[in-house]
Amino acid sequence: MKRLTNTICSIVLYSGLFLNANPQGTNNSKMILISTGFYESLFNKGEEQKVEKFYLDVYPVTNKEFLEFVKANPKWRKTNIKKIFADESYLANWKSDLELGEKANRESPVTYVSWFAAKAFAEWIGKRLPTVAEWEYVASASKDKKYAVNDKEVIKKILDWYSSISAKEIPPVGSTEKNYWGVYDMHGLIWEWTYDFNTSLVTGESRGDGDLERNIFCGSGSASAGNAENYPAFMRYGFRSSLKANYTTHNLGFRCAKNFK
Amino acid sequence: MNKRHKIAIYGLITGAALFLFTNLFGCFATAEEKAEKLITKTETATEVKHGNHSCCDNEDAGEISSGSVYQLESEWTNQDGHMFFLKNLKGKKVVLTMFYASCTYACPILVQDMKRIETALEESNSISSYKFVLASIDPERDTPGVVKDFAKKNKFNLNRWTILTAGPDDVMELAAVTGFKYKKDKEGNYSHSNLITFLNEEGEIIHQQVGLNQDITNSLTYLNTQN
Repeated sequence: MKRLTNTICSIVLYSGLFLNANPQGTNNSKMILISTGFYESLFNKGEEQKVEKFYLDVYPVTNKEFLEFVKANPKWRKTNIKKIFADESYLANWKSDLELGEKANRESPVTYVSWFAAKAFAEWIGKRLPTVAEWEYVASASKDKKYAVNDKEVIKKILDWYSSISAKEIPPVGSTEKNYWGVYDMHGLIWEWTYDFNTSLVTGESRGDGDLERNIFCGSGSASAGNAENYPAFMRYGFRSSLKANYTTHNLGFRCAKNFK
Repeated sequence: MNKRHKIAIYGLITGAALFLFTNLFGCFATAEEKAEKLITKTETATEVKHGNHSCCDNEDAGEISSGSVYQLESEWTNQDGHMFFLKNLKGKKVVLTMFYASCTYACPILVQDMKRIETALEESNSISSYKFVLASIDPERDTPGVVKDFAKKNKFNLNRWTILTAGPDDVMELAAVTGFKYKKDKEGNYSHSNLITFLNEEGEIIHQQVGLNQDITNSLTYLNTQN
């Protein structure tokens, strides 16, 4: 009897897995191959991290695309979402479970999404979220330079955007600059989730050093900033370190990445 | 990717087998056989309900609350190499810490902090309703064998203590859900939060103790008010 029970159970289990074995999403969004390079980690002075070549979405994921995802995956609809996966403002600008309404433009980036929701979307469509290193590597490019984090004008432009973020409706994807790689909207449209957002071992006062931090984080006492000029990156790290995985807000969205293979 | 393909193939084979099996039964089963099948079914159901290790036990464990960490469906392996789901902990209060076995500085202190909590609960006689869980953030080095040795070295009572390992993505999800931060350095060691998380019987986070060598009075108060 036990064997029969086990057989039935494993059939149910295996067929369940089988259904999820292949990504089901349509894969329309354009990706660009980012070539291998080095990224200077902000917190470990002189330590260069190699970023292997990978694909990155040209645009952040839009409301329209995310709607397709929730249509196919009831678990991720507004009224079904579990608290542990997203807080109460999840998809707050959508009219209902399957209607965007007036406040959420179809072509604008989807926001009010949690890390879990972003990750689930990426997996559904056969992709993944970019890592912090990948994201920062691509974000350190300007319009015509691969590495522009020390360019005073670039810094000013980014900081101007950071200081002017408002609650008004977010423009469609592709509204801001196309950078060296051919990727749009890395700065100036929304903040974006990264896969390992929780690797930013910094507190709000991380530019200083302190016993408190040494006590909260094992090993972080040795971290020292690599490039104190790169203030926009400090702000992003600060922002990331304040995030929780179920956190959602009006200007936090995401884009997807994929391994090169 | 390979794992996925394998799973897909298994799924296909089992699916096909099931198809053949039911068809054969449909064609050849006599009334007597059908009756026997019914009895088998009833017995199976009883077995599932009362069995200790049948695969479907968890389905009987009731619904998991919306704010429960047990919403995570990740697959873990315990120190004995057995498959383990977080929801297996449902019904117990849990003292949870993420760690890695080769950590020489913070993790041994965190383990001592957990042991202090264990001792305090032993004294208050409520220890049987608790589980102490260490979840490894180092999938490469912390194999079940390694964590088993770690358990022996630390003289854990394995009726209460469970040490879990899982793949990087499952580790990341548990870390994300508990607000645990970690980062691997070049030498393969980790910077990480010093954090002990307390879960109630439903798997909801009721308290977190931040830092090393903390006064446990506060944490014990949280645990006791949840009684």
